[in-house]
Amino acid sequence: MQLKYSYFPGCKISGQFSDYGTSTQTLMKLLGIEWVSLQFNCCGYPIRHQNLEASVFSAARNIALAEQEHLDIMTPCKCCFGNLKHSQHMLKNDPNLFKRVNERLKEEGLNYSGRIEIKHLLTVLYHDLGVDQMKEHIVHPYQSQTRVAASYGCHALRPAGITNFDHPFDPTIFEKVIAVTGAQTVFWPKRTECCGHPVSEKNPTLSNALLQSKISDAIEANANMICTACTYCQMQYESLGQAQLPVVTISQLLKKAISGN
Amino acid sequence: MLKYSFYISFVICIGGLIFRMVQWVRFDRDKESAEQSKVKRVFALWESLWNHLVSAQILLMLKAIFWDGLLQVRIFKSSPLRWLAHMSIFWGFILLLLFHALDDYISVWALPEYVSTLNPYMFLRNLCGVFVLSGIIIALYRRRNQLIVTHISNWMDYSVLGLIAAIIVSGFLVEALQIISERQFDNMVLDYMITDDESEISALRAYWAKNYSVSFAQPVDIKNEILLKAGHSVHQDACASCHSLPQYAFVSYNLTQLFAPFATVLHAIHLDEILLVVHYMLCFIGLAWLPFSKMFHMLTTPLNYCMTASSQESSHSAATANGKIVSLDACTHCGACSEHCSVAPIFRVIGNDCILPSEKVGAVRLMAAGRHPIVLNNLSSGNAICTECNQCTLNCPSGIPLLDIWQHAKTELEHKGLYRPEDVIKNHSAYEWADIWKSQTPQKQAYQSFISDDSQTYEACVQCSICTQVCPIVAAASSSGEPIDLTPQQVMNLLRIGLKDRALGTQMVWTCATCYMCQEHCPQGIPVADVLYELRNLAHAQINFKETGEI
Repeated sequence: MQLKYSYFPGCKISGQFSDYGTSTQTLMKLLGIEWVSLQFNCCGYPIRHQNLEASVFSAARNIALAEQEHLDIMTPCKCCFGNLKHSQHMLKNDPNLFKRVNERLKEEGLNYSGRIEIKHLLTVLYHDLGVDQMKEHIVHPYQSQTRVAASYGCHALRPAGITNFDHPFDPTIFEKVIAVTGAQTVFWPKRTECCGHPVSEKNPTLSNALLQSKISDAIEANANMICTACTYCQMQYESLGQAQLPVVTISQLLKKAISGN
Repeated sequence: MLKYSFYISFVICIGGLIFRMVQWVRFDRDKESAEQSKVKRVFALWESLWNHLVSAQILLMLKAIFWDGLLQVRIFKSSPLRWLAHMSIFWGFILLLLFHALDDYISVWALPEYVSTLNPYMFLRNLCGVFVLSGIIIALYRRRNQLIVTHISNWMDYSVLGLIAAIIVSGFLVEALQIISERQFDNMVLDYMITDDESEISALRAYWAKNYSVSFAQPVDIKNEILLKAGHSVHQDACASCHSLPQYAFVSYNLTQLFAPFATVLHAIHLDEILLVVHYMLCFIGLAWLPFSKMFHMLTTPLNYCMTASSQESSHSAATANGKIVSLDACTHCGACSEHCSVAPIFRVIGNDCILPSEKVGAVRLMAAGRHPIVLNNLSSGNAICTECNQCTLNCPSGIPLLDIWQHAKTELEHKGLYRPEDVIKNHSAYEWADIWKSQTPQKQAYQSFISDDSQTYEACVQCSICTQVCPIVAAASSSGEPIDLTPQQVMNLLRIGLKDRALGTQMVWTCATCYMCQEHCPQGIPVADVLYELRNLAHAQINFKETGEI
């Protein structure tokens, strides 16, 4: 069956961090995954601190746009994924909020019903496409001395009851996708911990401390590369440069194993 | 009177242009701009104007003028509908201005055998008018039908459209009334007929009443074939070389049907002459208003295209400072940025206009003008919501580097003492904040079903401190030597005993990384992270930004 999604890049990719978006689109082309680009707005994640209703409405508007096209949403960003999922959960459980959100959506002819699914790039690759399908495309596998530390990104993992991504503390999906490329994966205790980006503006010192502890943990686990599957995580790692460990996105990693560059 | 009105409006226009240009030098968009000497900036402006509007960089200029000025490619890329509207108004109006308003200076020598009452000029004049009016209708339709654009459209947007429409409509009315005017006919006969033979004139009256729709007070026999035939030969000798049939002025001609029954009354009150004065006056009002209204973009938008495309402005800091103000003036308030703004839905819930880029431009201009009104508070909180998705810049038909403006505005606002809530909160301890907030009237919250107010939320908490142990923020803060003020478990305890005010301003609430470790690990199922989220929501609503500002 042809896989087709509405592609939700998120603000940072459409703004100043386009690399992850470009490599994700190339990867989807290589894997034969189709997508459409809609006039999406902010996923609502950044405003959730300040105004939950604004955040849910923002998310709901995106989902309503995808519902119009009868397409599931696929995003490469875990924060976008987490917030879209969270908003779906809120709308399912709060009839008042559901009503208010739909009243606003109606003003521009939209409607939220909650009938489509929110997917992350990793869940699309693992569940919808499947490991075997992916393996067929790998023509430039990595050598087994490439040891990759998968950095999960917390907003997709938790709260697990809402995100339904994987196990909240002992996930495996990311490693399984990486394994397809022939590279080894390492186990590192901090792989499911926060990268520090959410506090990077409020408290840069603390944010750096969180990031540094993760990188040290990955080095200690004998990794020679970190792989992310989240725009914000990648931005956070790149803020330190790549001197300690190279950091790549899952799209870059897979793209290279498929096309050789 | 018309002559003097023109002189007055012309002087106002020139004065206004100079006034606006002085602002380009006088206003400072940021600290770096303010550091430039004003004398240097005057020279830089002169240099910029010379480079971009007069000399050099011809290729760049021609390219910008052709693609962005004449074809308006940028508007097309942003929205084909708006392009259609703008092209119709722009080209319709420019052609009318050059070949109709200034016909004595341009059309007479540029066009073969130009006479304003001959075809194709009559037809083309009406066609241009129709273009302008349909452009205005499309523009109005767009302003009324796109949710966000409807919201941002203000009196300026509508009155400029209204003024242009009024100029065109009054023009059509004048032409219609002149077609049916007996007085016009008599004057023409006086001026152009060599003979004063009554029989020839009455023949001509019949001919013109029948074929040129002139309404005469005295009944004219338009069925008398002999009379008409005589009229025709007089017409051929005296009139035909300068007059095409009025039907070619297809709009005005159809309007005459409307007026014909009342021709005598209209004639008596000299309505055609009154409307002609109105038509002129509206044009003069437009001329005088140009530098003070959004029509000023006719000058600033092309200038901004050139300035952003040129290297001079980016290397010369005095010129950069000027260019930063010019780019604000290049905004036409079309609303394309706000239409594509990623956080526009947030505006619809929170309701601060300064979330929307089209409105932030005005606020930044006020800031640059050195005024410190309430709008700066709105700008500060609205601009903080921007996610820097860059859609505003990509969709701006005037080529304004909007994202760059927002990023600089963030720094500049802090420089002026307007901090983000995350920074404001650090100025007091949680207990001090509790006292400050107690003295204020609480703001209304949009979202009402609070879990933090529900005692059942914490009922099961046994203060086991697992949330604290798994919290990466607590761990990182401790190892950096500056332990966090309250741990998640302590915050839960404060809430449990009803001291929510004391919790709102704690560092724990404000530096939560939202990783949900606490909530997922809690053996009692307390929604710790959700509660912290909610407390930030509440605190955001309570923070009074003026508290620390010097404004």
